[in-house]
Amino acid sequence: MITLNQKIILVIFPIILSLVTLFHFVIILFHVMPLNPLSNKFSHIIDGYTYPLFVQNWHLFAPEPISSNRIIQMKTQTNGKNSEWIDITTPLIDGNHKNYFSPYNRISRLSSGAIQQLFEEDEITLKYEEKTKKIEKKIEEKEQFKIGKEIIFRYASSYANFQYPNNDIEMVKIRIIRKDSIPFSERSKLRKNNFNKFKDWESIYEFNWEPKIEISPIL
Amino acid sequence: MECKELLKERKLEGFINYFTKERFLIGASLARIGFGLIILFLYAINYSQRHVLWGPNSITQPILSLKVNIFTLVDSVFYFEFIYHVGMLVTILFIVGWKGRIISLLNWILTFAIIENSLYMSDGGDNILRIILFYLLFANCTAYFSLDSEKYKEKRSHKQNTFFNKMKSILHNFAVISSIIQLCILYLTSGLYQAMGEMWSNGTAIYYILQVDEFSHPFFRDIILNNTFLIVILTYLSIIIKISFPFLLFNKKSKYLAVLSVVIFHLGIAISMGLISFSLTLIVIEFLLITDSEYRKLHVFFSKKSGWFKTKILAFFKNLGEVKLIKSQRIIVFYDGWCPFCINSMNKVNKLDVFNLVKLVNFRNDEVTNKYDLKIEKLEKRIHSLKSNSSKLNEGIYSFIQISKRIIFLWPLIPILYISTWIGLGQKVYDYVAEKRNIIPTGKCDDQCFTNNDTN
Repeated sequence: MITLNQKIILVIFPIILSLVTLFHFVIILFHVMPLNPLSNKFSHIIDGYTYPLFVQNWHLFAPEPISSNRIIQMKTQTNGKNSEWIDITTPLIDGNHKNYFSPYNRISRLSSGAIQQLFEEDEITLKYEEKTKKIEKKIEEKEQFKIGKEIIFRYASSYANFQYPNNDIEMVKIRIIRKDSIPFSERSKLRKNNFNKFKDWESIYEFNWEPKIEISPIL
Repeated sequence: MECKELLKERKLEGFINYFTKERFLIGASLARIGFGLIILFLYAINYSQRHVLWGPNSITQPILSLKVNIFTLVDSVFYFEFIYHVGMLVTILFIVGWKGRIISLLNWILTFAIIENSLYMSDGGDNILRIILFYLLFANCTAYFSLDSEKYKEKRSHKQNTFFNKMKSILHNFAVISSIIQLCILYLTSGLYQAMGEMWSNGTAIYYILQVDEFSHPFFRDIILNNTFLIVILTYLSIIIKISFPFLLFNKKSKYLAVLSVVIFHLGIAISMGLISFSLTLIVIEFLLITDSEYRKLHVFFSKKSGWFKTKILAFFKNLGEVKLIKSQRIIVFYDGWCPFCINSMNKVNKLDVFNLVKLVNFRNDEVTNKYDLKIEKLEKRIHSLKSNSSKLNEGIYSFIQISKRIIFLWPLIPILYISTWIGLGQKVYDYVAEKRNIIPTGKCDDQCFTNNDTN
């Protein structure tokens, strides 16, 4: 049998839970909405509450969708001889297109993620720099760029170990190239055949030669 | 005065009953299985790449080394291996629903960590998965389709009205409702962000996204890019489906529309963009939206039609089994026709073998040993299987792996079987069981001795 006290708890408990749920989702809403004066003012509370359990963002393709391709190319040096530039991003993406139910499905995302690590910063810093027209630090001095660089070299070394397992590659050189999408108004240019051609690609960053890192092959 | 008191009492009872009534039990159990399979898939498909993706010397090590979670706690390959395999094991236990709440908690800790360590490889699906798994820690996800379910039902029959159980029901209901609210927030904000963007509002966003290799399968890219009509319709539809989702849930009928359109939307994303686990995760969350009584109605509806469905679907699979590529995978399994346990198991295999890929042969039949040139002493010791397109004989546990590979319903067992052989336990356990089995030579045996396959 349920006693009177227990009954009172059974009434109060759902009320408390309702309030907790309400509070929780109000904070989540402020966390996922675009930056506004309120969420800016209470950002420390909102961030403190949502990190790490409830961190979320639902705007990967919005408001502006990703619309350019950025890929990594690598040169290798073996016994003092340099190779040509080889594309170390697209083969993994092609692998994914051939079979979604394969390790390619996730591995093919590494490349774009590492590039993003290099160049993208959090919204607030970007807006601040834009407004003040003052760039605080050169990009190479920024911590996130340094980490991104290390990851890209690890990625390239791992790719090299997979592609040339028996080669004694000493050094690798990396560059990031990019191709913007063709605007809708010029879509007639978009022919099936020249979609993947490299002619419209531009190099956006080139690193110096670095020694290959000891790491297991990517595949 | 008394009348008023009574009315008050009734209202109070009503209030308590409203919150303590167990709802969404079937949906939560289905979601558990769905999430578990998605997580197991993450572990299994990247198994050979696990070190380079998540290990101590992984590609993303510069960031992973800064993180503190169960996978990075100790900087050693051995420790990582251990946790990775524990992760797989816990996920399997989560799927079969053993020790519901403890395994849920372990599974959440491990899944949270591996998703956090996936960094660039992760997506919105992983993000929502780890949040929903947290809410569901407070839910009862093992009431149905689980090892715990029997115990639960037994308990429920005589303990339903205890205070403790009522408190648990309240928590369960809030956990499921929170998951649904979280899902609504996902769709609403994602849709609103789209509506804010210029390319989305002018109907060309899909055109731009399709030019990004990473998110567009060449086949669908070509079809859609050449069709302005499709580009605009798909762009707008994706916004409308998302923003309308929370509002469609308020009415029972429109709820079905919401679920259906979202499922189609995600299937489209899975196929054209290749975001497989993202789409599957969001489809699995939809299981939570259907109430128990709706599942029961669906069950009644389908069981009425089940005869018709069964013949149609079985015929479809049998036909599929005739496709050359699949047909070439057929195996012959030599089982012991003098052992009731073996016959029973083989009958089950035969029932589940919708592709008709496993041919069962009783090796006690002299013709069989002669035809395939096999030694009866070996066959008696272990179950043997022979691939139709090669002469390689598999025995014992390896035969079971071969059988499990060919029967979809046994797929969850495959990782367990592989792990068991890998640690060297599989064959030993098999031998132990095989040795202890009963053998009743023919003559002393009733009808049960023959598998369906023989009588057909």
